[in-house]
Amino acid sequence: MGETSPSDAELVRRAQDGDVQAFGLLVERHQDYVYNSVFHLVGDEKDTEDLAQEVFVRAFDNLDGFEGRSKFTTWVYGIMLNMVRNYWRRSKRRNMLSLERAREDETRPDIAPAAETDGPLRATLRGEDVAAVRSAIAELSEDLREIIVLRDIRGMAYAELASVLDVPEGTVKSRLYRARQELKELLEPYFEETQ
Amino acid sequence: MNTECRQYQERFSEYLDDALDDADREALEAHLESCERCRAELAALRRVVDAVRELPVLRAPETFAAGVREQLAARERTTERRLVRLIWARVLPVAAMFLLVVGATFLVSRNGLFKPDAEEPMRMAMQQEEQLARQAPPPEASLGSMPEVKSELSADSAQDELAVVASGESQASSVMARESRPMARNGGPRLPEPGFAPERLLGQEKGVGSLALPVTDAPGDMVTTLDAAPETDEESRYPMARRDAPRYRRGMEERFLFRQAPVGAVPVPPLIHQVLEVRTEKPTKVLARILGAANRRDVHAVVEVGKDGAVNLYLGVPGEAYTGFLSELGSTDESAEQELRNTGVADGVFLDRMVELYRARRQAAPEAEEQTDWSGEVPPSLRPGGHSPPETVNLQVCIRAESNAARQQR
Repeated sequence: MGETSPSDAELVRRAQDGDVQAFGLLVERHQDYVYNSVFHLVGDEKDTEDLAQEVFVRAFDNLDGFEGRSKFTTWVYGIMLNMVRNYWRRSKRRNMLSLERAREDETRPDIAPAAETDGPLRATLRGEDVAAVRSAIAELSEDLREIIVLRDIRGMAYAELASVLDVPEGTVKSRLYRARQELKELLEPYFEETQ
Repeated sequence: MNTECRQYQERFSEYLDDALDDADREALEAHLESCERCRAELAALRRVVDAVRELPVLRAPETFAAGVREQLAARERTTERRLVRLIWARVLPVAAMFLLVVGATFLVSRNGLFKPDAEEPMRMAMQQEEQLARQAPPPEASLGSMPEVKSELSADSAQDELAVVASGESQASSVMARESRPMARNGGPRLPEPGFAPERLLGQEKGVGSLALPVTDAPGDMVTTLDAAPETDEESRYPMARRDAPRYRRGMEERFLFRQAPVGAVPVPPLIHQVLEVRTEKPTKVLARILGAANRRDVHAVVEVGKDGAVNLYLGVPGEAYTGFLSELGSTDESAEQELRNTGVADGVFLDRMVELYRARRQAAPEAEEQTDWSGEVPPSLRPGGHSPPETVNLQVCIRAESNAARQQR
């Protein structure tokens, strides 16, 4: 065996041949980002764990149908979106006030932000800023929340976004613009107060 | 806000993502130099985008991966039960013929070793078969009436030789079968003559053992198999096989193609070159993995359940791909005991070499890595001098359930 870590494609191939350990490696490799995305989409931490686990279980169930035409992550995030949308349909709650309650537990260390930025040096958000931003994301409509989470939290490129959301790239751009505009309007009063 | 500013502000999002082409970017930057309002708007938008991007990533709890494994294990247990039920529901009506006749043979031909009431097991087997017939199969799997079975012994019954006469509703589905299972000198089972060749009827090859199945085009006259192969020219080798079987719902069953046997029909695999015996705690899991590997490599497979509960797969593996396929089988279950051996019909250096390599591979001998690439291609050293693989290697995999504890005591 090689010394370098196997690629997602290699692990998928092994998992498709019945190597459950290989699938376990895929889970460990992607669990934080899937978990984080699900959390920012649904807002409830208890539901997040169940949903995020179910994403991987569903991926395993359907692994034979994954033909490698897209990246594994693209495929998994597609599954994640379907499950989150089903969750929204089932859930009567449409606001995510529980976001703030969920973050009261600070015992687990957070890893560095996943998304790239081409701006100036990143400033670390204060705790109250984090809560405010998350609350604002929670107030977005579901389609705008999806694109903000996948683009600015998960760091997905436009082309991959188009694939996961199954929309043209032009729609990705316009939807992203609307989502960011709406967030700006939600957060402007907060930022003005805290300046 | 004027129209020009609105047009530029609508591109701010792409600008922040560095997604504008050079011309658009330069035009926007030129506008920003002269428009304080747009500069303020861009700064506000950038602040929001940066704030979102700076959100700390919430890490999955430490129990997350274990929770996924637990759910998969729970599904596997459920699927194993479903797969076992499926095997029994699909294969048993055909395999019951084996149970019926082999069970009868044991009792009748080995007098003194068993209870005097030789009829009881026959009655039980018949009752079991009738119970199976009453179970609700899918509509396309209707078996029609159960065959009337008689069991006869040939005059020279020193071996486990018997004849089964079964007649279904239509003449086309009546079969005559004689099965002879002398043990080969090398210890491997010798199975009947290859193929479903309809012209090879009983009586033309006495004592050898052949199973003739007439070829018909009548609906329902298909062979029951757990067939992992997609449509290929292999169909000519199994003239009874139809490739229009429905797929099942999601899950393990979806990987297999099922086709329904005609009444009284028994699938006959070709002569077996090698036998792989597997003893494992997880027989259904091993079965599923092997069939998965077979499916991925276009290998035709037939599954039957033996009288002792062992699951036998009969695989027709293209010779050129045999090395690679064996290497996959070797990794199906590291804890299983696996032994590969040649049968009495195995011939040639190639198959001997495969036995050696398989043994070395299982023992993780370092030289095994050097001697073959296990990439699915026949090593060049085996090609010259008649050492090429046969066109197809017929492999029987016999999977038996055995706990690790029991194996250690053995």
